[in-house]
Parts: sequence; C-alpha cells; structure tokens
Amino acid sequence: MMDAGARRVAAWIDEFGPRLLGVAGAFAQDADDAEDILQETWMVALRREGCVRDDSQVGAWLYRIVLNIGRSRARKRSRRTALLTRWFWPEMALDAVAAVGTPPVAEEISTILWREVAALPSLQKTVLLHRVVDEMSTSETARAIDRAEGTVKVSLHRAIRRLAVRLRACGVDPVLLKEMRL
Amino acid sequence: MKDAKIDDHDEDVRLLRSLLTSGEEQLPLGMRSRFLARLAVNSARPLRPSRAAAGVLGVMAFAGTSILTGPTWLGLIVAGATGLVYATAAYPLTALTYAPDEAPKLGLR
Repeated sequence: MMDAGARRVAAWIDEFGPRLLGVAGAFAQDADDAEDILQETWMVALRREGCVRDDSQVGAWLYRIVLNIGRSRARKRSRRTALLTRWFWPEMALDAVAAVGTPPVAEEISTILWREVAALPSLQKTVLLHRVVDEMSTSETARAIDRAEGTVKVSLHRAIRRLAVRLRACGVDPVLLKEMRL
Repeated sequence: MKDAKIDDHDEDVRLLRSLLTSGEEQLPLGMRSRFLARLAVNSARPLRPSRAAAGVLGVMAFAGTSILTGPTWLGLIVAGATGLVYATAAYPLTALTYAPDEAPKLGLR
C-alpha cells in the first residue's frame, strides 16, 4: 500500500529509472553498487517529493540527487582506496599510473561526462541539467531558477567549455569536440 | 577576460542529450520490483524518531532534571521515561532525524 507521494515516486521510477541507472553506473564499481545508489536516490526522492511542485523540472532534480549521491560515494571509495594503497598495497599505485593517458573507449565517454557534470559548480550543473534533461529552453530555464537569461547563457557556456576541456584532457576523439564547436 | 560567443548552445545541448540521456528502455529484471517494494515499505511506515534522537532527548532530560532538582536517580527516571515516550510516540517530530529503517529493529509499528 502506497500513499500519494510514494505513487508519485513510483511513476518517476518508471519514467527516469533506466536513464538514472546509467548515471549511477558512472560512479559505481559494479551493478549492485549502481542499484544501491539508485535505491538511495528513490528514498531521498520519497522524503522530499513534496518540495517538487512543477513536474516539468523533476528530471533535473532527480539527476542532481543521483549525481550528489554518486559523487559522495565515489569520493569515500577513493579516499579509502588511497589509504589502503598507501599503507598496504603500494603496487596498486603503479598500475593506476600506467592506466593514465590511455584514450577512453566510446562507452566510457558517458561515464567521464557524468563525473564531470557532477563536479560542475552548482549553478552550471543546474542550468545544464534543465537544458539537457528537462529539455527546457534558455528562457524557461531562467524562469525555473529565477535568474536572468544572460546568466543562464553564461553558465551553460562555461559548463560546456569546462566539459570540453576535461574531455580533451582524457584523450577524447577530436571529431567529437569539433561537433561540440569547442 | 570576457567570454566570447555566448549563445544558446542548442547544438551542444542536443549532442550532450544524446550522449548523456540515452540508455536502456527498461530497468533490469527484478530491479524495478525491488525499488517499488522498498518504496511501499517506507511509505507505509509512519514517521518515527530515531534511536539517536531518543537518546539525545533522554540525556537532555536527565541533565535538566538533575541540575534543577538535585537527585541523580530522579534524573535517570525522567530521562528513561522521556526516551520511552518519545520512541513510542504516534505523532511525527519532523524536526528530528527520520530513520525509517530503524523502526523494525526496535520492534515498533
């Protein structure tokens, strides 16, 4: 038996679940870890679903939750790994160094992008998610976040430029960057 | 340095959308049912205070009573009664921690 709020979240699970699973996978070690991240996302959504009054913005809101949870988990994991590597398995550090500089395969670009989106400043991340996920125009995004259109344009421009720089640093195909006009 | 060429970036947004939001059409088998089951469990359970919150209240009650009245035994009684009443209260106290997963461990419903 579910109340109205839970039914609302259940509808979000059907609508956004598959795509959000891909986002969770960018921060997860395996499929179970990705499911845990997504499970935690739905619990946060259940607790705060009353704050979402406009269903047109729920996509970006859910993406922000899963990005925050995923990034937090990845940080904790890397801190734990760094500590263990330093004190118990220093040879692991050599393997990690050898892996740097290898160009990512196509399916890894999405993972890199999501991690970089999670690291964006709050306003840039919000604007990017509204534009990309909620498919809002510049003016709609400006109204949703109560900012000027110029601010939205500048934030999006900086977010895209930052993503392009990070992709270039990871060895992404230049053709992809040309398509992004950066 | 002023940013040049500030436009709507519509093409970039479309490209990012294709890269970031494409994926499977459905959740893996069983995952959806697990999500919904957890959702049903948590939505059916009324808000309950956590054990940590009950403990904090108990300590505060003990300290307050002991300071005001003197006898330690009286403070312990008040602290215990406060914690017990709070932990079994039927009304939600949203200002304190909400821990739905802890309620079954306490045997509370």
